[in-house]
Amino acid sequence: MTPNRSSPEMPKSLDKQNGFRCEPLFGRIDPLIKGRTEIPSLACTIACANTHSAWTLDPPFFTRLPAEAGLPLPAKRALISDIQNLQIAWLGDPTASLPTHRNRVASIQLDEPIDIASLDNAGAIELQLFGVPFHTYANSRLARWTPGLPIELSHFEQLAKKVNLLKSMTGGNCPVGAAMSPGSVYDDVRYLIDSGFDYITVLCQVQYGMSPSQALELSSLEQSVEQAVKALRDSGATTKLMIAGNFLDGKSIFRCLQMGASAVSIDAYLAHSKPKEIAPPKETLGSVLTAFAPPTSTTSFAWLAPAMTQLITELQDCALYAGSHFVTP
Amino acid sequence: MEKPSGSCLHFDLESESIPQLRSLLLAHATATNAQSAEKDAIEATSLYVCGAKGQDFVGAGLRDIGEVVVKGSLGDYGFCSFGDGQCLVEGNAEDFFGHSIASGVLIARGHAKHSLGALGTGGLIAVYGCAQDRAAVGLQGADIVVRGSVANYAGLGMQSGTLIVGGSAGLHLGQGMSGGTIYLRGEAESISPDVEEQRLREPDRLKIGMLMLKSNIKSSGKEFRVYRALREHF
Repeated sequence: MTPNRSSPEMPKSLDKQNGFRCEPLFGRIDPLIKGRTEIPSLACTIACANTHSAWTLDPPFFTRLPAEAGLPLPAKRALISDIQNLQIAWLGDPTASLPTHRNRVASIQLDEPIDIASLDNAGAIELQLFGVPFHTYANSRLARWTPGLPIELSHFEQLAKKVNLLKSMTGGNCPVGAAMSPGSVYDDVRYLIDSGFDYITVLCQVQYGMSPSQALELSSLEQSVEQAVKALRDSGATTKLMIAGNFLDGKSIFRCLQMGASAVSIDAYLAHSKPKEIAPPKETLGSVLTAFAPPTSTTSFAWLAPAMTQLITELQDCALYAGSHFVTP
Repeated sequence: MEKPSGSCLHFDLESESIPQLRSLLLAHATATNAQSAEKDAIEATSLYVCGAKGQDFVGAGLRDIGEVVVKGSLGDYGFCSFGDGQCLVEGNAEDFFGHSIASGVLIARGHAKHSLGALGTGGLIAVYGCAQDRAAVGLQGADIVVRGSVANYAGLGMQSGTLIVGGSAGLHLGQGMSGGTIYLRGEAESISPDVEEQRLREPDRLKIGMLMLKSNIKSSGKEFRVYRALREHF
């Protein structure tokens, strides 16, 4: 009798205790015969409206730092250049000095017109369904992340029409996603799935700078992921789920992927991996030289590649240890 | 804008699809740009689209497309993100006609439905008939001329730009306006407390006259009332 590999479920308590669930022993018989010596692929592939094309995130990471970190232009360009070399999806507008790239996610902000130049040659389009309404002031940092729909929509069904419009404008070659700050996660995800989005990004934590302290936790990661995955399961849709949260190592990322997410944000990891700038002691020659030296550290991201290599290695280790036993939403 | 004469491309929406029209318009835009780059260009090529029966997304996301004439009515999001061209629709337009328009001129001979010219940042939209609710919603710099009347919530959340209404307006005119100007010839059922009526001055008359002229509508610009936001939020 062939054991059903999807039926045995571990108790949730044990699941949480162990961090993530390993593949059962009967699934590990004869790894050489099954060709299981290779590292299981963790890539996230999102099908486009035009069925001939798909958008792939390999590794399943994305970053919102080019759009959100408020970096000066030279630093932003350097960051984007390094991120592109590492094949990581990034959210932001095309910069003049860089060629357009398939890993770029074009952003359409709340209550902003559609800039067709920004959508050109983008890998994906993402509607940002949060922000301060145009007629009120942002009196706190949290207000910027208030969930909201564009003012142009007077009926909830019009969002689906707008999604179809964006797919039509790109000839169906671009997946259209939505980024939402968590409020009522289950209902919101169901609504966005029904509106026809190809993927949904739930922002549990946002990084508004390159420092670890410049982070804003909007909701509990586990609760939000559970609710979002439940919404995906209940709807039966093939919509992909992306999570932005406080992921600091490969293990936490792997756990989130096992819970049902397809890709995760590495903003928090990058902010924590950035080497600290230690000022030399005062009243020394070193401090004087540093004070008059041109600032170079802001535009240098040499630490990025080793940090990403380490993260991918950690993630692959977790995948090898646990096997490719993923929870499919 | 007159019907194209001389060099003219034809496209039938009844027998061909929107993606095919998109490909043709892109090719047309390239040809138009190449022609305008040559100093001795003799005449601009026009595109004549017939068989429009309320299809959605006609001309969405296309710019630099020269002159286009559409025979029939458009569906939702007609000529969304339009720019650098001239388009005449010889029929009605449904919701979100000229959404996010950046430049150029869009003219509809018939009526327009909800959210005419939403979030437009530049250019001109002229509607010879009436417009339904939420005309010029979230306008950010474009100019909109409606020869007939507009329904409720006209100018909702306008930030800049101009809305000229030749007829009357419905409820809540200028709700949430933070900038821009509304010129109204007839009466409004109710006016939002976010706007105040101001005196029609000479620059206003000139502006109305100029926009009407560009829209091929005769008007002296003397019988309009001016509404502007009470305070600029930005």
